[in-house]
Amino acid sequence: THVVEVFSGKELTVVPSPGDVVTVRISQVTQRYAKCQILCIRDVELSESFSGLLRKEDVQAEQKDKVEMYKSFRPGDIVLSKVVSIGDSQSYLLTTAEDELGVVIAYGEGGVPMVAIGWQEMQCPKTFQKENRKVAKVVSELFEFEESVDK
Amino acid sequence: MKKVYFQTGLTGGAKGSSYFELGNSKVICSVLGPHEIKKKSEFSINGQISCKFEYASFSHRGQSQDRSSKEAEISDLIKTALESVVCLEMFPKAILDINFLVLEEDGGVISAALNAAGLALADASIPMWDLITSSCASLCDNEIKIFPNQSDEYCPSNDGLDMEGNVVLAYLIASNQIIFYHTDGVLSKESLVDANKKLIDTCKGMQAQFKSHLLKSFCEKNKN
Repeated sequence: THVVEVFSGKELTVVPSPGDVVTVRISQVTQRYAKCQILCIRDVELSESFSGLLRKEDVQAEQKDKVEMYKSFRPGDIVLSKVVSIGDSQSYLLTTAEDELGVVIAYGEGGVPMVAIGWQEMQCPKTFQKENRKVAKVVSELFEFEESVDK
Repeated sequence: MKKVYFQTGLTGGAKGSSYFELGNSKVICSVLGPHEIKKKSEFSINGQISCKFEYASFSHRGQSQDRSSKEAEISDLIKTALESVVCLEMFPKAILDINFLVLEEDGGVISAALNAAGLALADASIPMWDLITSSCASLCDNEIKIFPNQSDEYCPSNDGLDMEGNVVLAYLIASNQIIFYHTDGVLSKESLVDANKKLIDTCKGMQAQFKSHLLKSFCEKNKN
């Protein structure tokens, strides 16, 4: 038997599978986990989101018990994460326990997208208020970000 | 044999769709998904298919009848057939919505729906084992009519007419497998064997047409 794969112009039939880097939007943050919606799988944008779950112990690689969820993510944040497993009937299990994973876009209390100023902090360019996040080490994107903020 | 006409990609909102005409019978099939199962209580390592078969209220001549039980039965039958063709293990925890709407009914509706399903699934780029093709026949006094009209179709209430029965078959050509086989009436073994051969030949002819159409529409879409 041969397997033929056809790429039509439409959205590919993709489903999150373990090891994929997915782009999610945080919808709910509690002390033990954060619920999110999976918007993109690798570079494919989905028309309908899947549900994901980010547990407290999967947020960072070191000091897993010292993590505070509200200082890592807030609702509305766009986060890069990796799929750990299919999870259960409710949601896929995700992790950000790598340098390249974490928050990429976050809006501060001023309503303006914040700029990363470290691996744990972001700052609002309007109010200069600092907020804690688990920031992703996405180097080229950070530069693009600063350019757009300056404009 | 009846005239066959089909088109794909007509319904903009759906991921894949097809329109299939078998003589006067007209069926639209649309495929949506795979997307997350909203009813979160069940966990399934394989994908699921939700099949909805509906007659439009203007689809038949004569008085309107309550067809909901027939629709439910046909939905179930087609779902079982499609589950064997679609690679469900490729989308765990996700559901594929396949909807059929019969615009006009004049015999061979289930067969038209299965053909439309094959085309719509291909149009939606859903991973499958093979392309579905289907044909049907009515057997009447050793005469086999491929793609009968509604008046030629066997019906339990056709008393006094010399009908034997109907056969509907859906066939996968590359794997040489029958994924759907439905009979009505009282049929003799010889006429069944004969009918099967003719139906499979009809399916093979259909598949050639389907393939050339799908290839042409794909090339046109991706010319840029």
